Amino acid sequence: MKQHILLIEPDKVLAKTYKAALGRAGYLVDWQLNAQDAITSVDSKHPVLIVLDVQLSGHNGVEFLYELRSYPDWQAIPVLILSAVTEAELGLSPETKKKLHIVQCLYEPHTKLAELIAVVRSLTSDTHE
Amino acid sequence: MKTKQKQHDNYGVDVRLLRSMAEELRLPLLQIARQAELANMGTVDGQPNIRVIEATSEAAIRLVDSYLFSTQVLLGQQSLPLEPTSVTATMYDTSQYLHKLAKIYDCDIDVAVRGKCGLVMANAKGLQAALTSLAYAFIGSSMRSGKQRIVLTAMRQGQGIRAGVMTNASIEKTTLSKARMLYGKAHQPASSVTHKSGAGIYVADALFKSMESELQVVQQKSRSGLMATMLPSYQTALFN
Repeated sequence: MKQHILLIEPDKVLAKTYKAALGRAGYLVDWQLNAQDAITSVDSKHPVLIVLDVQLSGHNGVEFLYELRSYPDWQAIPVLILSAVTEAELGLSPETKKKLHIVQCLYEPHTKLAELIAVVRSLTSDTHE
Repeated sequence: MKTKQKQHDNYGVDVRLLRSMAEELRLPLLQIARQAELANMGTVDGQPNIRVIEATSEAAIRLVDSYLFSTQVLLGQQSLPLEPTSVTATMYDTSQYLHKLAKIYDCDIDVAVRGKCGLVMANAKGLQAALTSLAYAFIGSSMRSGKQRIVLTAMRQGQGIRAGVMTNASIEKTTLSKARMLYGKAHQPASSVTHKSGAGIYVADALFKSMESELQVVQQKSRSGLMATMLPSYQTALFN
């Protein structure tokens, strides 16, 4: 059975590329453009991983994470940040990262699709059926 | 005094404008690079023309990123604290990033470390960005026929470690001063070394300056290049 991944990416071209690449790697990818639609998607699709760009229109990615974690059922879904904002620029403390269950940050301009797939595989391998 | 302040303010506005343009440009480059990677995914060698698109766009992303990083430093939004940094490891990373682009230009890119250079006092991210920009500026720059060779070189020099990029294309002593004129005069600043704008040299120069070092033109036998001298970390005493 294929696993669901929620991809939150504001750029449509990149989103379609990531979706196609992860799809070929055997995942069902639900792509959302903004935080509000992403919350609805989590409720209906039950993703095993969220791939998140923090630069969103409206609510930013970190605000989305605080809202997500306010629901008891969604505390444990791991989040992979894939963004042109570096981890240093994001400025989240290790405690905050742990609290928001951010398991890894990838710098988008330097992350090739092959690396993205490898990281996603490693993060979903525990639950892979 | 007021004129100087006005110049400084204008500089900030100019840099912010160029930063915005660079950020805008990085997105389509990223789209092209990832689309090309996707097109060749799952194939053994991939289509040659798609490989070229992927390599050139990936290299351009690195250059744009280095430029954005250097402007953050120049505007004081980012500091480059000096720390013990492995110049050899940085050079191997740089050659790995650029070898696909070099291959397209029929250019060999190698690393040559003479002696035990150990750790230098530099900023790892800054050194990486500077060397990548410098090597990028040299790739495909040779006006001579025949194979171009680019060597990322590090060596002991007196009390310091000299690191930079050497090539078999000739570099005139005025190259650096021309590259430094890039600010405010963005036309052929380094025409003696490259038909390109030479922006990579300018970016590298700015980053080395921020790391308390400076690029210099170096001539060695039939090769010439641009190198900067950095202080060794006291941890290198282990190698002496």
